[in-house]
Amino acid sequence: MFLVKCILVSLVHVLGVIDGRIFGQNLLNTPIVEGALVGLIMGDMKTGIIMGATLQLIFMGFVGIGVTSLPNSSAGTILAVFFAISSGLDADSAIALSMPIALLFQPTGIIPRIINNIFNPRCDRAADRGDYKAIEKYFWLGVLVFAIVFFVPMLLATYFGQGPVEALIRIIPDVILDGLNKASTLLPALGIALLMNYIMDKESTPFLFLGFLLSAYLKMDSLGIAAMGLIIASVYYFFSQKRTLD
Amino acid sequence: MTNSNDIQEKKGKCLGNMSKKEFMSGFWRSCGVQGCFNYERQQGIGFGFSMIPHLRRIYKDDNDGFKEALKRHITFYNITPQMTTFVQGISVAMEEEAAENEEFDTGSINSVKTALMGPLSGIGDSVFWGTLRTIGLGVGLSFSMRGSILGPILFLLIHNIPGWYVRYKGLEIGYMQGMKFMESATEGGMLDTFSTAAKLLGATVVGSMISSMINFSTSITLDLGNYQTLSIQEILDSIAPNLLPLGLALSCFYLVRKGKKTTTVMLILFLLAFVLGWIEGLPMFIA
Repeated sequence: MFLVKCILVSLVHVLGVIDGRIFGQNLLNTPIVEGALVGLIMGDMKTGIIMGATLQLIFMGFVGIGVTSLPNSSAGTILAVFFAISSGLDADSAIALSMPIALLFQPTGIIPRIINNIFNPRCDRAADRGDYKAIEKYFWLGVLVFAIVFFVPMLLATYFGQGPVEALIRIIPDVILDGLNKASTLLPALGIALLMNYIMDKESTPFLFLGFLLSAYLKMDSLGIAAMGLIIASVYYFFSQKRTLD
Repeated sequence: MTNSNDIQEKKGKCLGNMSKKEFMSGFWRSCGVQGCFNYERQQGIGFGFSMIPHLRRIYKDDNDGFKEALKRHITFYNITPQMTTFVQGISVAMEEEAAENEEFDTGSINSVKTALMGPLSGIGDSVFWGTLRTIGLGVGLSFSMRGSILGPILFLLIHNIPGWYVRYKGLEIGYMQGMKFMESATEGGMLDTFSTAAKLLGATVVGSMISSMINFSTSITLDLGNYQTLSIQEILDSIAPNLLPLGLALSCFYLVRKGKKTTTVMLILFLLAFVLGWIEGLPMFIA
C-alpha cells in the first residue's frame, strides 16, 4: 500500500513536468496545485493545500523563463508534503527541508534537456529522408526521457525516505554537477549557430552585430530590438518598393 | 478549380486551405511544442512536430519540398508556449507560398520565425507569467491558506482559460494574416525584397539572442599573492560586455558552416563545459 502511494506521488511529479511538455504548460507543476494533489493521495488534502500555499510563497521567485536551470520547486513541494503527512514531520520542519530538496533535485531538470540533444541529429537525418514518422517517434521519446528522469528519483526518494537520498547525493562529485551546469549554459550557442546558418549572408551580417550590441551594451529587451529590426526591415522594404515603382 | 473547392467544402473546410481536421491537428500538436526540449534546439523538435500535418498537405506531391520543409522547422525555436500558434500559422502561410512559388526564398521563413519568437515571448511572458499567474496566485492563495480546494482550482482557471483562447485564436490569426500579406507581396512583385527585409530583421534578433540567451561567463580568478587577484571575467568585461557568448556563438557558427556535424560540435561543447567546470572548481583559483 505504501509503495502504491509512493508511485502515485511520483506520478504527480511526472504530471508536473509532462504538463509543460505536451499539455501546453497549464502550471500543474506549481506548489499550490501539487501540494493539493499529494495531500489527496496521502489522505490529508487539507494539510496538502495549506502547505502548498506556504511553499508557493517560498518558491514564488523561481520562474522558469527560457533555459535557465532552477531549483526543482516541484520536488521540494512534493517531498515536503509527503514527509509531513507520511512520517509525521511537523509542517514547519518539512517546509524548511523543501529548499535543500529542491536544490538536490535540480539536476533532474538539466539531465533530460541534455539527453534529448541526441535526438537532434537523428531528426535531421529523418528529415533528409522525408520520414516524418521518425521525427514523431523521436518527439515522443524525448517526452519519455523527461517522464523517466522525473519518475525514478522521486520514487526512490519517497520509498527510502529523506536520509538515504541526501547521503547518496552527497557522494556525487561536484565536478559532475558543475560540468552539467556549465554545459546547460554553453549548448544554446549551438542551437543559435544552426539558426544563423539559415539566416546569415553578406547583407545581413552587420545586423547580427547590431542586435548583439543593442542587447549587450544598451541592455535592450528582445521586444525593443525586434522593433528596431522591424523599422530597418520596413525602411529597406518601402524604399525598394518605391524604387521598383519609379 | 471549382471541383477541388467542392471537395474541400465536403471535407469541412475551415480556414483558407486548411481543413478543420488539419487545423485541430496542428492546434493539439502545438501543445507539445516543448515535448522534446533540449538545450541545443530547445523547442525545435516540438515545433517541427506541430508543423507535420500542415506540411504533409502542402507538399503532398512534392517529396523534395517536404524534406526541406521538415528540416527547416526542426531548427532552434523558443517561445512562450501559449504564443506558438501565431508563429505556426504564419509559417503555414509562408510554406504555402514557398510550395507554389519557385522563386520564393525559403530562408525568409526562418528569418520571420526568429524575428517573431523574441517579441511574442516578451509579450507572452509578461501576460502569462507576469500578470495572469500573479492574479491567479493572489486569488488562489487566499483560498488555499484556509485549506480550500478552490485555491488551486481558481488559480488554474484564471491562468489557463486565457491561455487556451490565445493558443486557439493564434493559429487562426497567424495563418489568415500571413496569407493576406503573402498575397499582397506577391501581387506587387515584392517577394524578393520581402525575403531580404525578413533576413535583416531575423539577423538583428539573432544577434540579440547571442547576448541574452547564452549565459556563458567564467568565475576563474587568478591569485597573484599579496591579496591581489585577477578575474578573467572582469578583464573581458572591461573590453566589451558578453564577449564570451559572442565568441562561443561565432565559433559554433564557423564550425557548422565548415560542415562539422552537430554531434561533433556538441561533444566539443561538453568537453569545454567539463574542463571549465573542473578548472573553476580548483581551489587555487578561488580568491
